[in-house]
Amino acid sequence: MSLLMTMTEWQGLTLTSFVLLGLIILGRTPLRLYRSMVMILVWMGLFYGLSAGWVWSEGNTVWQGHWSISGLIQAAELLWRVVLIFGMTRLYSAVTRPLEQGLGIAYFFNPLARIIPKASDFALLLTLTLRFIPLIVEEALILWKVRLLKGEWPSSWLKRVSEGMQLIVPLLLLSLKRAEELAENLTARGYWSGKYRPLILQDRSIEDYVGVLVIVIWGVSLLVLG
Amino acid sequence: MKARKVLKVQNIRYRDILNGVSFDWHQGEIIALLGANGSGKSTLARLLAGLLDPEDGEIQLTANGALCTWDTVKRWQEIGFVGQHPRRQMIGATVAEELSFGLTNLGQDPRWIRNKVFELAATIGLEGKEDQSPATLSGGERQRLVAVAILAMQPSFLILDEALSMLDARAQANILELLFQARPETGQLWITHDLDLASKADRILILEKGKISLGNPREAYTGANPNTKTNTKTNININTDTNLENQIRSQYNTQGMPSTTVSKVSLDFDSPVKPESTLLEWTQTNLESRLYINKVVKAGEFIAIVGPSGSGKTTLLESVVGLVLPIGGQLTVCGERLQKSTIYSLSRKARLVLQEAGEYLIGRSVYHEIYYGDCKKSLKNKTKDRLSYLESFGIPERLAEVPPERLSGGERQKVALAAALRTQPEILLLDEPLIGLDITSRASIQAILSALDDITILYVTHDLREVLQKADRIWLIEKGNVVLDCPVQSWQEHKEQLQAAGVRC
Repeated sequence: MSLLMTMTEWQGLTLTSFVLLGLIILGRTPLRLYRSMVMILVWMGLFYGLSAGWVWSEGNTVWQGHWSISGLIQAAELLWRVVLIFGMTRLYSAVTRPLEQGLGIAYFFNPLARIIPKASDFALLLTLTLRFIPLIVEEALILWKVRLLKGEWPSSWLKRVSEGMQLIVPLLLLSLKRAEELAENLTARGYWSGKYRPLILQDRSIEDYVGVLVIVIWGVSLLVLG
Repeated sequence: MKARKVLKVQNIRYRDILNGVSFDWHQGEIIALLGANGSGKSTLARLLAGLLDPEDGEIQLTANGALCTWDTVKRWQEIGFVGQHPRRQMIGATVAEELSFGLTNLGQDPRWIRNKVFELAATIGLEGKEDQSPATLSGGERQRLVAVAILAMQPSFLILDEALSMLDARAQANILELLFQARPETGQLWITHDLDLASKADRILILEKGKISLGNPREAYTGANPNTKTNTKTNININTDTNLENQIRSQYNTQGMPSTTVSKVSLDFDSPVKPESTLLEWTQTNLESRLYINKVVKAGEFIAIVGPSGSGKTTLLESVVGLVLPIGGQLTVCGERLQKSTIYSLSRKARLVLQEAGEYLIGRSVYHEIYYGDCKKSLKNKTKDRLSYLESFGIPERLAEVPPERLSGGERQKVALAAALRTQPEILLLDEPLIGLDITSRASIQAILSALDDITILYVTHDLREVLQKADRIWLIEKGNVVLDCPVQSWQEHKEQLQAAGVRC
């Protein structure tokens, strides 16, 4: 993704487009997943087209300007790059659960943890956040239910805000309680700083090695084609 | 030969909660610890686990009589701790991580851990779910997962702080099997309010007024005559010993709110619904594909709803107050069809007390919680009528301005019940209202419910014995269907079916 951000030549963009297309086909993701990107990209295209394509010479006002072909090409390349970045991230989030993303990040922190113990704390923080957020959402939903059971939700915005504020205090208290419980659970399971290692159950398969090879070839090609 | 360990608790004091607690706990021994809500059981458990430090006294570990100081052993490895709420104890992002977390901290080899994880998952019926988030599991599965994750660390002692109370009989039996397997190597401390469960322990300790007050109440069990409690309404023998219960109850009364003050609840309203008229009617109702129901409830009926965890009991209750709307068929409440436009008008006629309602009180004070929604002026004006309403639930006037989180479990549950009944609903929906409560608190809540004669009650429970005296009918829900609807008098004819579904009876 970092390489993608630095690409300036059409050859690199074409190569990445083919890679993305290949991944979409291999990932068997439905095209409707990408539909929501269209409107955003149209607006971004208009913005880039106008900002890079409409030029005016020094001393003239903006409405005295004209369209520049090179500017429009530059805008098109910029948009192309954005399309590829959006496509890649959408594809990634469609085929990788947040849980796996967290574990993956934690796994890649492993070598770093050998040098800096705090890196493993950061990895643990990531996985705990992934667990803690749904827990707090669950608690918030119960509080919301409790409020609904107490009577009609007011129609006036002012009263709604005031009612919402009243729920923040119990939610805060519950969150603190849960955080304390979490800390106790960590202690009870023998965790101490720098100790966390994520557990990846699957053995590396031939597909994983092929994937790594493809990424290496793709990366090197991007560096060459730029 | 492996050293036999003993945990010696000597004259432990902590704030004004524990006032000189002493006992010996041997490896391989199962102790049941009983005590009223707020008596300090959980504090004692946390002190034993090293999560708190005692202000006075000592907790010593000996191996074959030789003292082991805490700086020479890993305390978390010696003493495992399992709490009441499995979903709040999960650390791992996946089932595998949950099982491996403690083992990794023990410094085991990653390959060995990986194999062990598969083995452990298989023993608790979670094979193939190793990569799943624990959030996707049922309550029973989560509790088994936490228990096994701790047991895998092979602690010499294991504390279970009401860890089995939320489970149905089947799930509880499943965990008990695991615990008894681990017994030779692991001393266990079961903190519970369940006398049946306590009777399975080797020794019972009762915590009262900050001290262990009953030396060996196990003798009371062995000397007692079982099956003596008779229910006059249904002529049912309940397998709980009255003498024993009274003996133990007398050992730990709740402080502050005696049950005698809640003997009668006066709601002072005339029900507009005629007796025997239909109050609730589900017609071929599909509730979010979790429950399919076609049933009628008459005014004044008391329906006991039982069934295994995740069968759809709570969904049924939530449908009555419009938290879940039918996606097929219809639900009629007090003669009017429940739909989006009628939710608020109809929900006034029914009040739901959620599971663990006491944990989720949103009022600033007890008084504010009960009169939530009233205008500021009316909240300031604490009339005699209003305070006597509180007292009819056994909530003394002095507690009116206390924040709910400072109350004991039993007190909070009473507040939740008082808040629900304040609007004089025609239907009261109760989702396991006695969960986590001691005998005295249970008795006072049951006394409140017994005083509610004119109200229609739907009561969800795992323990049929809670409602046998009061219920008119029993519904058994399994896999999203009401598979049994019988009068309470004939429950024994269906005892096997009920027990197979994990219902305690």
